[in-house]
Amino acid sequence: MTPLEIDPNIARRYREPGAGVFDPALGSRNRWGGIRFLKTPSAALATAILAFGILTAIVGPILRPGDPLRITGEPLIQPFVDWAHPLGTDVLGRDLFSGVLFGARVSLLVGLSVAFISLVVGVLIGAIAGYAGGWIDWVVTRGIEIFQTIPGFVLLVVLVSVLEPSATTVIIGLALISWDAVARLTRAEVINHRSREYVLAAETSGVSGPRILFGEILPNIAPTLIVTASIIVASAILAESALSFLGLGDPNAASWGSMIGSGREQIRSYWFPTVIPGAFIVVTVFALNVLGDALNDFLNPRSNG
Amino acid sequence: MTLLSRLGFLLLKAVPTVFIVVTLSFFFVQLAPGDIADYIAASSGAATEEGTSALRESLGLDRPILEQLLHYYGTLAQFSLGQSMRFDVPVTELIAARLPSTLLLVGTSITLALALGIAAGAVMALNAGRSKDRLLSAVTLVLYSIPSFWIGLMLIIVFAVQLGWLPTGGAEKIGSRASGFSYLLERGRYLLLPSLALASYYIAIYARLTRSSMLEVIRQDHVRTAVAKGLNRWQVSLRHIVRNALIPVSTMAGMHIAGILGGAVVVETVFSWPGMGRLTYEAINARDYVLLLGILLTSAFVVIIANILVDLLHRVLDPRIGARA
Repeated sequence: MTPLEIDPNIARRYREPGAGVFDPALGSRNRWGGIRFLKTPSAALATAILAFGILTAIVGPILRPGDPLRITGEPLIQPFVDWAHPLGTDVLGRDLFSGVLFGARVSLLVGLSVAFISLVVGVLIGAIAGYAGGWIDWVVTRGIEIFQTIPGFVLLVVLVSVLEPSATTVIIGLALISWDAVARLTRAEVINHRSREYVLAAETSGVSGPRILFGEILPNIAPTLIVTASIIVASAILAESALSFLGLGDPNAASWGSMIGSGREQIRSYWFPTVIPGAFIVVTVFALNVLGDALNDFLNPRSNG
Repeated sequence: MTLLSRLGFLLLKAVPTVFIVVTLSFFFVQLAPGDIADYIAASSGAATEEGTSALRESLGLDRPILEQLLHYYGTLAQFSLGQSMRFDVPVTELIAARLPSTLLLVGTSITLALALGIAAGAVMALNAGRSKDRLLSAVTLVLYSIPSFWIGLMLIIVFAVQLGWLPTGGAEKIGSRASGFSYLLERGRYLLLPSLALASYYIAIYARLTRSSMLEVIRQDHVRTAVAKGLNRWQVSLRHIVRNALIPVSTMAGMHIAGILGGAVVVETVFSWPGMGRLTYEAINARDYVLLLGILLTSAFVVIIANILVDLLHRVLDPRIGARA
């Protein structure tokens, strides 16, 4: 998309009094934008942590092959003592380091798939509702309201337990409780942009509705959606860990939440089977939130907070 | 619009929502493989084919699905949520026994989250850009990233196991005879850790929200006027900035009730808190879908009622809202 293809007359008018809000979505953002972004220390740190996390999720299982759920040593070896088990073992003698590596895979897979599905569905529904208005908008708004009335996590628990826990049902359930926030946001943004001059200009030049919506408006609200995506990944990882903590995760895969769930039984005498996987969740989610904040500052410089 | 007519309007508006929530939930539970009759047959061990189908007939499970749905509406209209398959008592009875402790936990958490969050947000906004702001921003961002059940477990490790100050779980001492103030104190000791664990995420949200909303209000004309009038810093901050900045915060708090109720499921499990969340966990393990459906509906009702209350409260706090509409 080249946002600069706007009639220069219109672009000039935005400075005039009463011109309303007009953002010439500009070319000042050059191809070095990504590098400029990484120069912010917090953004760089968050990106590094996440890149490391993704790398771990990919190569981790190669580093420590074999099922992380099999018993490999004595039970409850302390961390940093035995180099065969750098992070120790749990009550059944399962290696915590392998568990954590495989857990990264589960968390990131769930987080990214949920963000992808709920963004596609939410943006599509919200954008159409916001652009079309009328009864379509009314129906969608009511639908979103209903999803906001049902406590998401309770619905998730009911759905996953009804459909039998597996990676697929967890992802579907999480997407089902996440799309409404995306749809609401997209709808509000589209309505906000609908009456802006660049949209009016496109309408007058006879551009078709779908092309205006997907070719003009969506690229302009993309920054907000990108920030939302990082928040969804973070909250999906948190919700997945809570589900598997309750024993509603995929029973055949080690995940951070299920490791905490089994470590919890020995919490009075052994802290590490509970603390270690939890620390990985916190670091990952923290990095995602820092990244979201940094992206927000970078992409929406006018917003504050 | 008066408060009473607003209440009427909101209740009327809730009717179709309730209807659709009930219908959706009913179909969600229908997705389950096998039905209650199968479950009862499996748990009793020695069930015959005839026995199971007789059971199915007596529960009305052999009828067409639409008929079952209508029947379900019928029982709901009589304020009954059906019979729990696992515990063999009416679901309403089970929920009624657990709902008060969940409401206590959720209420305490929201209060804690609002109090601590707004205080932290106000400090951040009044010191924007300085080290206090940076430090608190970092702390809230960390709180925002910790799963509530894990923070609960960490609180248990520190305050219950290591320091031994507070109990690890439960809602009150079994067989306790404390009364009056000491009873409240004792309940408070059990309530503190779970409500903190549940509140942590929301403390972070409210702190961030208060901060950004205050920074917006600070720039407005009425604040400049207040300063020009010679009001002192405290009066300006509390009466002119914080009060106005709280409007978006209270709107958000209404929207978070559903989320906090969901979070209670996990936190109650961690602290063996005898509320609806633990009941949910028990219902999952028992595959008691009737009970699960009842819990889902009750939580949705609680959210609807809470949202109506927040809406009315808003009108009392900010008279402009009613006037504008």
